Amino acid sequence: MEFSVKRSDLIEELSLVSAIVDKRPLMPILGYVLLEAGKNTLVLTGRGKDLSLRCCCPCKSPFVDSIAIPPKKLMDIVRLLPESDILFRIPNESSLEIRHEKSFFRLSGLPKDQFPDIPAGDQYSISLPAAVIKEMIVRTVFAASQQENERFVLGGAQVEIRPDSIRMITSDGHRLVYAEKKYEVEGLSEEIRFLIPQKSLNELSRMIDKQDLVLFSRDERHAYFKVGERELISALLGGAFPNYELIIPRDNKAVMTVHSALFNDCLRRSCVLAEESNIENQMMRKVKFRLRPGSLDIIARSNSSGESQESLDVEYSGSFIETEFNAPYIVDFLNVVKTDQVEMLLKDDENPVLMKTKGEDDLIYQYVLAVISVKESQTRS
Amino acid sequence: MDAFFAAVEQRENPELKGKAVIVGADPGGGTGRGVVAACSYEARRFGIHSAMPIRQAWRLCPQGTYLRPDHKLYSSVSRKIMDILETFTDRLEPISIDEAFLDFSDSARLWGSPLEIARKVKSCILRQEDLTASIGIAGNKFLAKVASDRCKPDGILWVREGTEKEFLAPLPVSRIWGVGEKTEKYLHSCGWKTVGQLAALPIHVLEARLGKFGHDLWLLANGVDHRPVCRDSETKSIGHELTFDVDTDDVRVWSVTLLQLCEKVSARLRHGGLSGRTVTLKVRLENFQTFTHRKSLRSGISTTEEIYPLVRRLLEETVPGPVRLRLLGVYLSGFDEGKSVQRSLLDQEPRKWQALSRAVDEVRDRYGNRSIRRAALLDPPGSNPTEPEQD
Repeated sequence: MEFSVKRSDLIEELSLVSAIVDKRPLMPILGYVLLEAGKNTLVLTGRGKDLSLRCCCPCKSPFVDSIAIPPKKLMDIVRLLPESDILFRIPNESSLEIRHEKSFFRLSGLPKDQFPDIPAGDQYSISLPAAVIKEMIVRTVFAASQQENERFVLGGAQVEIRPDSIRMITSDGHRLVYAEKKYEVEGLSEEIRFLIPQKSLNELSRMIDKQDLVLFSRDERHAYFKVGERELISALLGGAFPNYELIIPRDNKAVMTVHSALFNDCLRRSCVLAEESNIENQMMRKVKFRLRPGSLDIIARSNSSGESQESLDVEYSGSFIETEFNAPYIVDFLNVVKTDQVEMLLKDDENPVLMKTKGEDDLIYQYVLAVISVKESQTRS
Repeated sequence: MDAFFAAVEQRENPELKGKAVIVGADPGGGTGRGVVAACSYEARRFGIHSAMPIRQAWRLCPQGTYLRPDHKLYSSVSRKIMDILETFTDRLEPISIDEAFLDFSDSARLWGSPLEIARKVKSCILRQEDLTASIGIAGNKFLAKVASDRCKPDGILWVREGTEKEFLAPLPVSRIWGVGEKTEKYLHSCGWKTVGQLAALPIHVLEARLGKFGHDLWLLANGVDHRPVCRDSETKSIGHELTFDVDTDDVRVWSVTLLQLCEKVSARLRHGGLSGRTVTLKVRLENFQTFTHRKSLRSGISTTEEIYPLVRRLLEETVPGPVRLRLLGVYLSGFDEGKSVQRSLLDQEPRKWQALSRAVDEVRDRYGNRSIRRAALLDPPGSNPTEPEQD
């Protein structure tokens, strides 16, 4: 018996699910997506390394049927068909027939029983504001470590859901982002905190579309998110996230206020002729800040390509400070900032600096950044 | 210096002059473990030589005087000798406690002919320290070293320009730097016993069999060595490597060896006040194929806790399947002292390890290297009781 699905619906959900599927799976089945046709919905389930995703699209099916298929092949076929309802049939447990007018495809798949079990979220007791969650993810996830070899916990984000607020914190060891949003979380009496892979957060943010709420629950090893009909199951990371309270500087007294967009432009221009070093596949671009009352000079110099100097009007009344930064770290922050002005709080030329948005009352948003400085040899005590 | 430790002992205790003096491990009446560190020329007549098992020495010469080494004394004498050498030239490169290279290529006019200089140096050492030295004179470091070994004790040997090949040809291959017991065996198995035989080969034959090392070997065999005499050269890398007694595919032996090497390297890093950003693993397979694999970090590390996991991962990436390994080596470089580096926000935990490592260093400084050890290194699996050699 055949079932039909609207092409655009299928593409939308399939692209979400196939994005998380392991591209080079240990066993073929782990690279597959499970299709389960029910009376009114087609459920698509994919399984990645640390996360699984279940999506649905409306379908008209006379009875229940299922098969696991290689998602890329299905996507390639469906994408090249014209927009309309597409007919599917599962003649036996390991093939899927796709029909549209005079086109016919038979795609080899695997029986459903070979597909691994995915834990199911049972009780979604907590609901979170979808737009806020999406915003917080965008604002924090860039600072999580991209290094697989880095300390494991730094590849994730620390999420804290409190009765009156939501916090998200990421760090790659050289910088740290802290975002906190005031929000009355209904039905929550105790704080929930967990460490989640950044990939799961990226997927969660992609899943959030026009929905208002993200439903959340967790057990010992998993976090469950439900957005509309989409359900994300993520493994949680073990280990302890660094104590961010200790890392966020409290006694940086010298405050510089600067226009975010102008600051960003200056820095991006400075990157062009900055001294580059590729460390752990990350391009570092060193720029020098000379900060004095009223102005910030940004100087870049590379032995091979030249030098540049920018001068920027800033509000600053502290003493002269000269220090160096990896410019892309600051650009990353300014790229996601929405306020006209940002503040940089400094202590001296060697301690980490704290950056904040100015005039953003509903979100506490802080960025801690270690400077580049001259390394002296360690002396034995 | 000639039989340095033994000669110093004889000088300190004139009764020992003319006697067989053996400095090294406790012979334990012929049951002792450990080796001979040095022995007087009188002892050498019994067939004893340095690095010989102490019980074998005892069997050869039970009537000899056996002394435990007094390193403090030897270092203080060594310092005095280096000071004497320094009065001749500032282009001095000490290579061990009792050996140094001196470069007179620019100061010949000041001191006279090479032979005259050598005589002056020897007589100065004899007069001031009452010890004899042997001096090799040649156009490069390798030849000078071989020449000094050939004229011991109390000699001077000048390898004149144009006679280098002739001088080297009859020597056994083991006289070449870098040719240890294993390489020697390998070269013998190919039928090459003398330096002359190696020198006569086309260079690509050695390169094909031993790679870059073969290339260097061929140059040395032909008396070519371009390394400069460099004083206090800035440390570029710190490393240790170990050739297994028997090629091994035992992963446990690999792990323990790596841990041991990391301990040595990290201790030296800390002693030098250094931390390295690049970790390099060297692996040699039983067929002499040699790989190095490295990883660079954003900030420097100096403890076993930080180095070992990286080295393990490098090993897993380098050696995917079961193979027999001949050698493992661990190196750290990228010290960046005086350069600008991206600071870290999270140095709390490494700091704890650094503090712990420093405490362990202090215990070892005071009570010896074996006074405090990692549990994993107490009883290494496999048959590998030797300590890694310093590179």
